[in-house]
Amino acid sequence: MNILGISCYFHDAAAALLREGQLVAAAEEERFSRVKHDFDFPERAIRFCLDRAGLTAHDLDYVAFFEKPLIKFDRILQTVFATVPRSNGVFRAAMTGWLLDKLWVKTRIRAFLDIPDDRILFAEHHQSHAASAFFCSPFDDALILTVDGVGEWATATIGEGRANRLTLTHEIRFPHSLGLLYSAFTAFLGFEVNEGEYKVMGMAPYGVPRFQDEVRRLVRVGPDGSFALNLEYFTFQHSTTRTFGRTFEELFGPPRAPERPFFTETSGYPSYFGERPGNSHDLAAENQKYADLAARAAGDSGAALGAASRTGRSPRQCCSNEGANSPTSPSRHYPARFMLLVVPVLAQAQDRIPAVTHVDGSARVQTVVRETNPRYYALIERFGGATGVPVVLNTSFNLRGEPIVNTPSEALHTFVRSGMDALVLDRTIVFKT
Amino acid sequence: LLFILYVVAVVPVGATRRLWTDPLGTKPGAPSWRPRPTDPDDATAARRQF
Repeated sequence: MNILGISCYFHDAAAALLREGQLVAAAEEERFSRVKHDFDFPERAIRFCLDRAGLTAHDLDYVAFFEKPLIKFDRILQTVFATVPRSNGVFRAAMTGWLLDKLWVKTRIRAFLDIPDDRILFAEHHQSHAASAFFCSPFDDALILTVDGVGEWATATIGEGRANRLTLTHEIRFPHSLGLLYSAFTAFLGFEVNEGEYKVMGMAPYGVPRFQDEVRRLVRVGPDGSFALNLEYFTFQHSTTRTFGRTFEELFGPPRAPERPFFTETSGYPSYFGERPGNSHDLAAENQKYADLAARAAGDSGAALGAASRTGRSPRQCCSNEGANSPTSPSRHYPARFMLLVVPVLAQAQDRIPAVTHVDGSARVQTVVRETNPRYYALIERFGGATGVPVVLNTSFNLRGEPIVNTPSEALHTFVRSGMDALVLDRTIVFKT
Repeated sequence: LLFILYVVAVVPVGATRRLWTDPLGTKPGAPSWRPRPTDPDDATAARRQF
């Protein structure tokens, strides 16, 4: 059975292809369109997946979309009605975006792939996220928690997975959303929403919790872990451009302008260089126990795979990624196989690998396996032989604001605009003169 | 046109609905997990866009 999963029309459009329950290809549209976070219908990613699998659209048994568009449209209309007279901007955006494009996703899929309606399926947004995490995990049974900005109505769900069954039993609904709370702080700190969240996450350990009381005024937490936002402080429910309101600024002060330095005398400087919790290493170690089991593509791009897994009732361990050419590809569990594990670097090794050793002596590591990455494995092995250090630093090949390079010409283009000295393309080495 | 539609249709309907409904759950209350409806016919549900 061949199932194509598709996610698009919000951010990070993507496609993923399962053959007999195994992931054979997955890609984000931005790699091909060169538009960062491209959300348009992923024609090129779909073609890539079909080509990689050696299939045509007529070989597909099902095509699964990652959410239910009509429920999402209902949520947007209900929100417009509920927030009049301030929702004019949301209404205009909804009418133009949805009536012209997003409501017709089934027609678009049918027209692009030339397949009958009964082969087009729709998973719920959080089911797609849950499926991409659970069906690719090493667990036969698991409790499941999903948390994001918003899908159709749900912003968080809980449920369980057993063998090839996945059931989400409870939910918290829009506008009460931890993801949108996070986005509000991302915007307040001067970063772009749906782009700069990772910077906020990266900065968080450097701060001190000076604003706990203020943050607790934004969100109420129930004894069962449920939560509700105090909507007086937010505007995302009736604005397309702002996520927090004047009351938010009265509580936390003026927002940081994007062009201003992140750390100032007013904000304070990284507490990392000051006092740290005495048990910080224990806390970090506890968290990291679970890092290597986390979903590898927790965003909406990974939901394309989740939609395919969910609707296809994939057998367990569906997502071995041999053959898939994408860092968004989840895979079978393997120790530190993805770059999600932070471990202490041996004291005697810290000076030998300073580029990857954090200031607290830890490093985010990834193991490379000969069977699945023979060329990369050989490269590291040779580098180790030449230098005595069998470790290389791996980072994404792109400049700020652009997707990761996908072709030799894009690699050359990025290379000449970067500070890199040399570029290796297959058996060719290019130096700057 | 959309602005006119908003003023003459959306605002009155929205304002009237708000008198007796709270679809977004904006009124203060204890946070809670809501039970999700389950559909026993999963195969049919997967074909629906709603």
